[in-house]
Amino acid sequence: MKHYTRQTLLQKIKDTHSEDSWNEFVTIYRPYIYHVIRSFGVKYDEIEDHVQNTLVICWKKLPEFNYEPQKGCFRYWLCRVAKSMVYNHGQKFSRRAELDKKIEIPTTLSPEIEEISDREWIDFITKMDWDNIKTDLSKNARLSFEALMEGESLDSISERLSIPRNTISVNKKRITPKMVKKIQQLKRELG
Amino acid sequence: MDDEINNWKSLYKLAEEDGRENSLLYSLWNVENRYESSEITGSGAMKNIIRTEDTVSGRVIAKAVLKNPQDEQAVESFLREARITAMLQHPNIVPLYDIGLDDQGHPYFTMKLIKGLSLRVILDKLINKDPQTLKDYPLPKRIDIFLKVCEALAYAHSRGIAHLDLKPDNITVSTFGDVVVCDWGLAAIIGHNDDMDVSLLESLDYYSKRYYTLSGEIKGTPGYMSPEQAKGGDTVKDERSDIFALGSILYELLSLGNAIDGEGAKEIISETLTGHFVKPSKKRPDLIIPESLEAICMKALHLSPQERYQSVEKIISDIDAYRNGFLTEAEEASFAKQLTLLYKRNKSICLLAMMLVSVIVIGSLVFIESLRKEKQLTTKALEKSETLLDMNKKISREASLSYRFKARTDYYRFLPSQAVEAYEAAHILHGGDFRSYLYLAKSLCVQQRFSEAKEKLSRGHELLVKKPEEFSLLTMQLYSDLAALNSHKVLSVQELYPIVKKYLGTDSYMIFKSQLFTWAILNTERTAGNEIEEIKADLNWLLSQENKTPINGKLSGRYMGLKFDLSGHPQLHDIRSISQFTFTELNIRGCDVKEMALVKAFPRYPNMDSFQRVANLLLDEGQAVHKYAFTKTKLLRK
Repeated sequence: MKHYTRQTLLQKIKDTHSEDSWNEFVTIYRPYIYHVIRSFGVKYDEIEDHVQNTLVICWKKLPEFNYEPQKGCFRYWLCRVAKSMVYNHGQKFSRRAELDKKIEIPTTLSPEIEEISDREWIDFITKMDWDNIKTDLSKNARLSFEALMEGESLDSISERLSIPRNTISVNKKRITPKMVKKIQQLKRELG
Repeated sequence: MDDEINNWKSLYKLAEEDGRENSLLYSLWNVENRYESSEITGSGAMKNIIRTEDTVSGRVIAKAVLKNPQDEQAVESFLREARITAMLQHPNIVPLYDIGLDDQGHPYFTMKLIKGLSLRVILDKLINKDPQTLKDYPLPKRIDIFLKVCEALAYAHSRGIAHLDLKPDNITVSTFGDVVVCDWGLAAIIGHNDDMDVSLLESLDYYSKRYYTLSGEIKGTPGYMSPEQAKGGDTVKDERSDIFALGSILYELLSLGNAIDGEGAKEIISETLTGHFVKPSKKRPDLIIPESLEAICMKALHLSPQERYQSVEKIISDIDAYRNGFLTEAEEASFAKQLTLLYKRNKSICLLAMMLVSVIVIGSLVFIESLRKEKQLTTKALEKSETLLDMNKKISREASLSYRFKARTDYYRFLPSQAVEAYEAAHILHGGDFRSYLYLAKSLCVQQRFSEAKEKLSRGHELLVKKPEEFSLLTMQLYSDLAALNSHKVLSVQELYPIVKKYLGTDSYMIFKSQLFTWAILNTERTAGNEIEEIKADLNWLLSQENKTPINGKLSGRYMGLKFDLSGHPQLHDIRSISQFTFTELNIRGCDVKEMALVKAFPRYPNMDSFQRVANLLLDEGQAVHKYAFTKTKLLRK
């Protein structure tokens, strides 16, 4: 996956507004929006609809978004759009064409939504990070690190995968800094 | 950290914290209070010096604040000091970093925090005979310090500023030997400098006049202040007042005692005004005090400014002169003194000279002996090298001959470019003679390199003693004519033929002629796809010319695999002109060929026959073949 600095990626999407940049935008942010909306407690069969609506509105309203680090990051803005879709307007407008004309994006975010945004963001970024890192790892390193992060104990992993405890620890020491570095990069790039 | 990382979220948190701690930009974002954790490290009459950390640049610095920021006059003089210090940028003057107002609007300025001791402290330790300090600061080291102070003041004077409160307390010596002059609180502007901001100058000047009147109040420190400062009143104070202070400091560095003794400020001031100072050496006869330095010191301490040094540079150059062993301006010179100094500064040179003389004497003897030996060796070596040279010449000659033999064979085998290379190699090794140049010219001409051929042949002619033979003269003309054509294309056989015939029209020189024609036919530019037809036309044209009758042979095959069918031409008598051609098959059935050998006999070179490049010859039963033609060819008779 290609990455840009946060400003330039958003700037690029804002400026070009082409099919390519739409695809890029959807590829990157769709999973995040999906999880945020799911956390709102929406019925399972409606999630997909809300996600689609949110993406479309984000896409159309992107030119309105101005990146100001002090005022909050891009993902908060995404969550604000998602929230307004789900709670206020989502059900009222059956036809998508009317959506963008009438919608007003709220300027503030309630603490509980902010919490959801943060929690899902951590999941989203670490998952993307792990997807990036794990391709370069051996199968054992991958499995053991994953198990560690899922909370399995060192002894149990060692026994289950028949890998020496020492190897697992060394692997962890090796992988952790890589993960940290990549997380910092993704945070910078994706907002 | 390791044990805390046990789920995905902890990884994210680690990244977040790590990023924050390590980011300099982040730290700048978060500066709220620029100067933190202050502690007072020193104080003057008006101001406190605080040691503080500058969180923006991340270094520990010194910050000067006023003791009483409400005093308007103090504020102005405080800022004046800051601006003057800011003007002075010199390694031996404390660097000012910033001037500003704090949250309460109180002025402050920041400077480099110098870790070290004031010269006052060092001098006190010396006076109290602190053994470590005595070891650390012997006289040369003290003079080093003094020179650095002089340099700082020379610079300040050049910028039009006099310190006017120079004393050991205002000189800091850092642990690493850096010396800086601080506390420019009484400094005055004594001249004009183009770099100075005019408005600053005016404001400072105005201020000086109003509060710090150059003439008027007594300002300075008794014991270091000059008589004109001590006197007060209207007397002018300038850089020469600083020079008095320098003299006083030097006095103290030399004698470890004050120049001006006295109980209390009043007595010291009156002492200053008398101008009677005891020489350091008289005051401390137990110390070794160089006369030159003492003289410098006393000159700087003159009562009248006119009698003192007129600039700090003069003091510096005098101290340098003392250090280099020359007489100082302040010293009265005597011949004996000069001699001693001469000896002193040349001590090592004298020793060196002695050593050198003995080395030269011994060395000369050894050298003369070795010269004699060397001469013998040289004679031997010369003889040896002459024989080597002879051998070398002989080898070259042999090699040259063998190259020439190869070249001649190459020529007869119709390998002209190889012949040229071999001849050139032979010539480089051992020159050439007429014949070798003649053959080289022929080989060049065959390849249509006419002007080169001409040049080589004339080189050959130069080597001849007698008149050149006829062939050589004819070919010379031929080369000239051909070179004159100056053609950029390869000449075709039709173009070449008439010119060749003009000079070499006789029945001889057949090898040369057939090589010329064959090379031309093989190298003429051809129309792609029609090569064989065009070559056939050229061959037939050539044979027709030679036999004076139309010949219409049939050519088939490809380059290097040509079959030429000349059968059924009873008028075909002479085929020598195509003798250098390569044919896999030549058919002369039904022809009456009389001329096919190029020379009458080849007793010495049996392999230089004609038609050596024809593989198969088709003949009638009983058709004759010349003894020196087709010797390598398979004869197929019907």
